Amino acid sequence: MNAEADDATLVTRCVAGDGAAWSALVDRFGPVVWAIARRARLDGDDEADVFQNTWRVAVEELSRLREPAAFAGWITQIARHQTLRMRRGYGIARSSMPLVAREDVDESRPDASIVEIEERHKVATAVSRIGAKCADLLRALYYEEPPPAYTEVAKRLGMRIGSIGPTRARCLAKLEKELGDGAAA
Amino acid sequence: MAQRPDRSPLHPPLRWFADRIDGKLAAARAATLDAHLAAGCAACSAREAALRRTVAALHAGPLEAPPPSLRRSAARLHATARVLAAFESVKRVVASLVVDGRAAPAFALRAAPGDERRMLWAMDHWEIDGCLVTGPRGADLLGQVLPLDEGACGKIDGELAARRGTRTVRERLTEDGRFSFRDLTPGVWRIEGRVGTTEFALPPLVVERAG
Repeated sequence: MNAEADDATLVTRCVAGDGAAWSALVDRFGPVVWAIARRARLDGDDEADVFQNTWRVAVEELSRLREPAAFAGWITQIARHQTLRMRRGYGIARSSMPLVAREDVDESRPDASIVEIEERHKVATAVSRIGAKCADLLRALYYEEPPPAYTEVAKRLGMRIGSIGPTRARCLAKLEKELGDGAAA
Repeated sequence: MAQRPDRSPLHPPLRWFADRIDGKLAAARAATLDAHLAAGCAACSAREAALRRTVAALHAGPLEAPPPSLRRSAARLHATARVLAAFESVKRVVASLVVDGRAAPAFALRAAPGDERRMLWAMDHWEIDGCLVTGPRGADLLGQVLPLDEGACGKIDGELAARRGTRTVRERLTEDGRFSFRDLTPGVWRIEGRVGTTEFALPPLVVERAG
């Protein structure tokens, strides 16, 4: 049920006291929060603290979120602020930390690495919604480095090699539609 | 929601864009595609840019999941928050640090073994007296929670927890309000607790490394 619910529905259910909806939000956005915590190059315990503090603030403030559909951007901001707070703590306590990048200090500037994290999350979520056959094909073609040859993909997925190109195009079109980037081909 | 671009049947198919991104588009088709884009088709230019972002995100792969223990404790926060909200008589306050006898200057990066840092936090009707002693494996925080009203007597009931990352150390207050946290590793610790019906949190406590 929750896998299909959109963010706004999950947030509304959470505020109404639905613990399963909260769990679904943690599952959905946990990787985003974790990626933001990890990109700051804190030590392991502090990364864990950023993760925990982000969700602690979120659960305390969720009822005040005016636009439930804006949860993705909101939780990202909280994670970013928690990371900055942790790094400022380091500033007075540690000498071995690398300098804080300027982009981390100016909170008003868009942060390229966070945009990339959000894009990866958005695309991975969309891939999980376009059907197993398409998801398997796109994961096989793109998730591996170096990309496997079509012959290998065809063998693995039980497809004719000649159908991989056209099927990939159809799957990318479904993905494009899911992402809201444009019309299907 | 993104607006659907205006695309006539003469627009190149998505497969051409995908093939070009993958370096597999035949030269003749590439030339046709370039000519189409050069003619100023904004919809196809936007489509190609979006597809490039998508393919880059696909190549980067899905984000790493957080460790299961962290995921579980984050999932439990909702239930904890609801339990706390149910206790309307419980008052949650943030204690303020009113005295900080940091032995070293503010920009000191390391504390010497045996350094003592005395602190006093105030909140509601209570004070917390603390002493952070730096040792070889970390620091010990020794302290006492005392009522502001010096005439108040009786046993003190409460507990504290010091958290950092996945580590949580719990301490029950003695009857006269004393507590001790041993071997706190260098880093930022969060200390929370309850005394009587007052839930409280201290400002983050930075434990410096010795030596």
